[in-house]
Amino acid sequence: MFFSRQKKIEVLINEYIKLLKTSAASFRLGFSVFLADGFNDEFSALVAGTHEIESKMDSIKREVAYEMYSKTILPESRGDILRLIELAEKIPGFMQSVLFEIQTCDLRFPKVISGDLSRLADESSNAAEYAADCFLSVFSKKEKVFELAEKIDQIESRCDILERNIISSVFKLSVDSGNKVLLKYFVERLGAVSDSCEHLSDLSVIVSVKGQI
Amino acid sequence: MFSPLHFLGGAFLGWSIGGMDFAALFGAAVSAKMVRYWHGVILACLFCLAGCLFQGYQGIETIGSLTSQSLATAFISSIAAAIAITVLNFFKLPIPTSQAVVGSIAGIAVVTGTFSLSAFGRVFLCWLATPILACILAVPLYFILGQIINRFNFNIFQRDIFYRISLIAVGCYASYAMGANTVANVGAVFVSSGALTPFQAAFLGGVFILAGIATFSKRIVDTVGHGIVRLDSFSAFAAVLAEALTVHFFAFIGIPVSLTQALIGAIVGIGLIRGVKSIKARNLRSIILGWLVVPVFAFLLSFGTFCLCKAFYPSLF
Repeated sequence: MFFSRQKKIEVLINEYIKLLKTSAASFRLGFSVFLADGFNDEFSALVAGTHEIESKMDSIKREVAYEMYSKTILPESRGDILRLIELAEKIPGFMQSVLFEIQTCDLRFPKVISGDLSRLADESSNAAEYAADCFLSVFSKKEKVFELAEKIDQIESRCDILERNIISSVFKLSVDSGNKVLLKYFVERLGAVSDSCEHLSDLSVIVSVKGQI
Repeated sequence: MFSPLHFLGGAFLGWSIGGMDFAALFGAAVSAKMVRYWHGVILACLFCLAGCLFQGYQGIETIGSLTSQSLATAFISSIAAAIAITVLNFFKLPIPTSQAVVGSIAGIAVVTGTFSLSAFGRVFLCWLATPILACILAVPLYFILGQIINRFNFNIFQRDIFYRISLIAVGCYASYAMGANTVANVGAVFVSSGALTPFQAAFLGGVFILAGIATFSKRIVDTVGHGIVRLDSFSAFAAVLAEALTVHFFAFIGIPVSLTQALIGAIVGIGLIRGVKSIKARNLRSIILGWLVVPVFAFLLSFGTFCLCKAFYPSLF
């Protein structure tokens, strides 16, 4: 009885992590489609898809929390599991808001920053995929958690550098100040994807180490 | 003459002991949400009864040898011990039930002139030894079990399953040890007064204890689970195992000792490993104060009640 309920939680968490990876792939594709072709139906479909994935993840999170706290399941670890899920939830949240911002604010990127933006989006997607693997490793191969956390840390550093470069390029552009501020906020939001991946990997490391006596 | 009324004292005492001692069996597991309260109660009842029936007679013989009892004195000593335990249960203090029982027996023995210094001295020494032995045992157990668990390199799901099974298993073992050790406190006076055989006393005492576990044990669970040191599942596992081994050891030599003293000794041992600062000294002080107050309180209650009854109803004695 106990173990079948616990199995259900394991299945739900695996599904959640799969969706996190799918959302990272969808974000990567959506961003590259926009940079290549601007607004089109494919981009809109990818934005809608990313939103759908985020909603599914939200439902799974609620189900996991309900299952763990309404029944006596995983009492030792449920607080940690919920914190991990809450941090993981921020990643698709930021990715979704980046795509939404492009769509709703009708953003246009000057050519001089589009290369760096593409790299930043790519690195952020990589970080999200590694973060999903890192999260998964907490439940399977603990040794891999450290290795992946290290990779995410390196990506996050590269993303920070890219973010600063893009922002300083934005303020050198001859566009009006409103546009500059809008682009700055956009770049910061894009940079927040890798930051949230790092937060997730940091907690994954702590949770893995915590089990040691 | 024997009357069912005489068993009221035993029933009250068994009930109060059950209410007090459940916390030392499954309190940590229930506090850590590893076991639901009612699941813990059912398991504790089953294993406690098994302990009473298979091994409880040894302690019954020891307690019975402390002093000779009539049915009337058995009734008074049971009631006095039960009142002492129940009063302190209301203050949510995990007190040693054996000390209440022996204190009340001593109160009557002093008046009747049957006080045996050597028998009481032996029991007293075991009281001192119980928390110390549990404390000493908890330290290597903590390290050895820790090393074993680290070797398994459990992931987060496996860890939870392992701790849940361990806490349930060790709680069941502690319940068995509790039944084997504590039933003497309830049944011994009826054996020494000739009203029951040791087996009958063990069975009846077991039933009374189960009633206490089922109806009066919820109050004190949190004091044991969180009151002295905040126990994680692993520490709770090591502490309850040290407690069970200590109590079972004394059950083998036939001396009823306190479960709560053993558990608190073990928890302090673990607190010392994790750093003295993790021990909530104020709570620990009030628990130790309870240990000192209980036998004296029970002694005075039985002594006073016995003197009053003897003065007003001399024909009973």
